[in-house]
Amino acid sequence: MFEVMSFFLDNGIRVLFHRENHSKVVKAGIIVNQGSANETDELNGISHFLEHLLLSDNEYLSELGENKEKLREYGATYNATTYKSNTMFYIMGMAHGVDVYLKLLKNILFDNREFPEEVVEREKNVVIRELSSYYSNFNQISDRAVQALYGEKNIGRIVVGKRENVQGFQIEQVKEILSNVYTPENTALVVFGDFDYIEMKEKVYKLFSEVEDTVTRRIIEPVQSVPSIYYNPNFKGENSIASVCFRKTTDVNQTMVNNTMNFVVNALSNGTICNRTAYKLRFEKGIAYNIGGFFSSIGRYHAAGITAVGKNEDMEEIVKYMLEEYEALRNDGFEKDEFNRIKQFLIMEMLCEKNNMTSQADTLLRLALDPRVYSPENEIRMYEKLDVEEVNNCLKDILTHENMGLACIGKCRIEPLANLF
Amino acid sequence: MEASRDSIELKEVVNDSRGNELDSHIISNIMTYLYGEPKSSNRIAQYLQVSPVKLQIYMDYLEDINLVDSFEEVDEEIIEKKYRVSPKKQDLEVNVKLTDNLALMQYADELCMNLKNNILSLAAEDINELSYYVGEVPLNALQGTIDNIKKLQNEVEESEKNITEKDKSEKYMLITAFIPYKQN
Repeated sequence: MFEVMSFFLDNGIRVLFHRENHSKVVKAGIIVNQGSANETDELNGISHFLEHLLLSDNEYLSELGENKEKLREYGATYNATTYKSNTMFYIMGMAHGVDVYLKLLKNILFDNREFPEEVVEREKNVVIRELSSYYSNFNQISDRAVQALYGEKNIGRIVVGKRENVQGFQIEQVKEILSNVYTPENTALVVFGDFDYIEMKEKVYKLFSEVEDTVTRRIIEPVQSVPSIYYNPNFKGENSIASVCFRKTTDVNQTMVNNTMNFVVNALSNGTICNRTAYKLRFEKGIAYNIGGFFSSIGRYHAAGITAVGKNEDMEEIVKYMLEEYEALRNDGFEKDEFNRIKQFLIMEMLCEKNNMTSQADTLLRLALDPRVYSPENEIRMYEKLDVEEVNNCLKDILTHENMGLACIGKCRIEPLANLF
Repeated sequence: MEASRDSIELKEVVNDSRGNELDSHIISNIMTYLYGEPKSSNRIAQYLQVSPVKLQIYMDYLEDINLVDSFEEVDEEIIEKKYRVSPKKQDLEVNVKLTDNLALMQYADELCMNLKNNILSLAAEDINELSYYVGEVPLNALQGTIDNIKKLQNEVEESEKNITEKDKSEKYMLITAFIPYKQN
C-alpha cells in the first residue's frame, strides 16, 4: 500500500510524507509551481537561471555552504531540475541526515535572496553553455513539436530560454520572480523514506512554519489557437529529425485523454509491442532510427507525438508512414489484442517504477502540487480498468486533422512534408 | 493615385528562400482571400481547404517577401494569429494565374470597386462624359500591351511631375482594362 500523509502548514506549504519501510535512505525535495510556462518573452529562461543561482554557493548565506558541506557526511547528493510547469530541488542521502537535508532545502528555497555579482555572471556562463548544447542537437524536437502545436508561449516555452535573455538578466528581475512565486502557498515539500510521521511533522513544522506567507503572482500566458508547423533548416548534416504531433485542449476527462495519448504514442513509437510506425520504419524499411515518442501536459493543454531521425531525402517517406498510422488509428482504433499488449507494457513500466525508490520519490515530488493524491497501485488499477472501446472513442476525438502539427529540424525540404497533411 | 511599380511574377511553382516549391495557385488564392479584413490562419486554411500545417509554409513565404503581415489577437487564453495584405503593398501589381472562380470574382469585385471609387471621386468636377473601353487582347500580344501600358503610365507620371496649379483643374483620368484570351 502506497500510503501518503498530506497536510498544509499555516503559511500554505503543502507537505507530503511517504513511509517506505526498511529504507535506510531518505529523499527530500521541494517543488515550486514555477517553470518556463510562467515566463514572458523577455524573461524566458529566468526560472531555469534562478534554479542555478539558488543552488550555487553564496557568501551572503554562510549557512547554505555549511549545510552543503555537512551533506558529505551522509553520502548525500543534491540537485535541481526546471521543467515547463515547475522547478524541483531534491536531496537524497542516508536516513539519519534528514535534519540537514530539510535545513538545506529551506536555505536554498526560502533564505537565499541575495546573490553576489560574480556568482550571477558565473551561472550565466554555465547556463549559456547548457543552452548552446541544447540548441545544437536533435533532442529539442519534442519541445519544438509542442511549439508547433501551441506556439511559443505557455506550454511552448523552452526551459533554457534564449541566449540574449540570459545574458541580460538583472538581479532585480531575479528577485522579483523569487518574491512573486517562491512563496509557501506555491510550493510543496516531500519526504520519502522510513521515518515516523509525527516526528517528521514536528521537524517540518519547526523549520518551515517560520517562512512568511506572502501573495503569489504567477504569469499565465495564452496559447496559439490552432496547431501549425515548426521547422529549422539551419542544421548541417545529412540527417533530419521530424515529429508528427497532436494536441488536445480540454478541461474535462483529462485522465482519459492522458491515457489515450499515452496509448497512441506507445503504439506508434514502440516497435517491440506493435507493428506500427516504429516497427515499419525501423524493421521493415530500415530508413529511420531513434524513433521515439513524447507526451507533455500542463493544465488543460496536452501534447504528444512521435519522432524519428532519417536521411534528409527519406523524411517525406518517414512522415508519410507516421501520418498513415495516425489515420489508421483514427479510422479503425485499436484491436483488442493490440490494446491489451500496450496495456500490459504500461503496467509493467509502472511496476518497475514502483519497485524503484528513487523514481517513486521523483513521481511523488513531481505530482505534489497536483490536486489528486498519487498512488502507484491506484494508477495501475486505473490502467487495468481501461476499456478498448472507450479509448477508441476518445482517440477519434483527439486524432482529428485539426489537432495535428509538424516539427522538423534539418536540411530536408519541408514543403513536401507539409503537403502530406 | 500613384501608379505601382512593384510586381511579382508567379509561375506554376514559386521557390522560397528555403528551397521549397510553392504552388502559385495557392499563393494567388491566399492573396485574393486576404484582401479586406484580416483573417486568421484557421479561417484561411478552411477557405482553401488545406491543413494549417501546409498553409503555414505559404504564410511564412508571403511574410518573408512582405506581401502580407501578421499580428496577434488575444482572446482570454487563446492567441489568434491574423494575416492581412501588407498595407504598403495594397497597390501591388501581381501577374497571377487565376483558376479559382471565387478568386476571379474577388478580383473582379476589387477592380469594380476601384473603378467606382475613382469615378465617385470626380463628383465635384464638371464632367460631361464618362466612357470606358474593354477590349480583348490575344495572348501573344499580352506582354507588348503590358509594356505599352507601363510606358503610358511612365509618361503620365512624368507629366504629373511638371503639372502646374492651373493644369490641376484640367486633369483627365485614364482608365483601361483588358482581358487576355488564348488564341485557338
